[in-house]
Amino acid sequence: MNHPHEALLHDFVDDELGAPERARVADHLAECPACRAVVSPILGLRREARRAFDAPDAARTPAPPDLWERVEARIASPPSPTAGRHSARPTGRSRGRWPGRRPSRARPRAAWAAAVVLLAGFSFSLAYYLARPEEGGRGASPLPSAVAVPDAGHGAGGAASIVRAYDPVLAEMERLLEEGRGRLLPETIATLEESLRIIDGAIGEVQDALASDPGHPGVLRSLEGAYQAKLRLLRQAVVLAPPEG
Amino acid sequence: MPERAEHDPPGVLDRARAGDVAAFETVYHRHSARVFALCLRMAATRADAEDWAQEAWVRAWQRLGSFRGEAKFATWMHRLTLNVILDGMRRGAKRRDRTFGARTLARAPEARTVELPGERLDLRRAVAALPDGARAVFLLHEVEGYKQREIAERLGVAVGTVKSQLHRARKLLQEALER
Repeated sequence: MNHPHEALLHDFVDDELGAPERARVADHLAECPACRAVVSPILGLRREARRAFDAPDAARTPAPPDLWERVEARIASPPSPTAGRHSARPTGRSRGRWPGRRPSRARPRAAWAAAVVLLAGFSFSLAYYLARPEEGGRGASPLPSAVAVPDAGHGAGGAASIVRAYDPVLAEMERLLEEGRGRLLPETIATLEESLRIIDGAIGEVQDALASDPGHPGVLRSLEGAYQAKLRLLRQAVVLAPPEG
Repeated sequence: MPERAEHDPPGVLDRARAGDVAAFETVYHRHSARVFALCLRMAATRADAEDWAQEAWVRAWQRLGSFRGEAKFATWMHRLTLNVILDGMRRGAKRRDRTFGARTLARAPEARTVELPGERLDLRRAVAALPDGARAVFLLHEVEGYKQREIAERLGVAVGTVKSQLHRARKLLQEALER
């Protein structure tokens, strides 16, 4: 056998050859110091790399001190100790698996627009799905009466009244969705979770604005609109994944 | 379940799985340094590493119900973090179209600002200095044990591109270590 091409030697080291070719290269290596001189450093590099990155000082690097706070902000919403400013935020329900219980304060100002775009995308997917019953679409199933759109009085009672009106309904929708979660495709779950995060980011922004001007009618309408969007998204998801029974 | 008994207070994973955020925080603090080290060595920037680590822990919280304890939690978390990293790389590659492009192969290794702790740093420094695509493929293949086809599928590139990046990484590392 002539000297194998260097790429073939790499494939040999990487176990990318079929059995016959692997045997041929192995036989050649047994008799060819020149080719062993190519293979040996590759194997040595691999061995050293594993050792280097498994070393205790490489396997552990302190995470940024505020990383937990950022994680926690996305997974849970403990009640804020500061009454007033945050009192109208959605209540924390960390037992659930759906994200965005706590509106992110780090979302850019475009979060609301992004939420609308995502919502539109999700609605399109839903429409496509429902329009193809022969491929598994199940048609719009009636939703329980408990998830009817609440009447928050268009914000007349302030942000707190909007939150009071929507929180129980959203909680019920999340419960229903959790029951049907297993019927959703992973990609759908990922899209839904991202959409919920973005909508909650938008809610957070609106509430930040309300903290400085609690009675602003336009901002209150925006808050209600954001909650409506969240409810609409959850309703659509529940149609896709109705609970058992 | 020796890992749980050895590294996590009794019942803490069960409580976290049941939705106890405080218990999950305990798990986080026990494993966050490993997760962050992994993210840091795979990322092009510290900001990417922080984003991936954050996403990994959020995903862990969401999927903790699927962790049954057959494997060590550290192993489960390591694999989950790698999946987050691969997703992030794929998105980043699509966004920038440079990580795995021909231009990456042609250009010189970039100076990276990712810090590395401890001693025995020659190889780690050399790896850190590799171009993004070559570094990622090298680490995924040589350290994490992914097959070339698997890397290609997860990153949305051709197997040939993975081979090229791997050969390039080896060549650059051997040159760096011989200096």
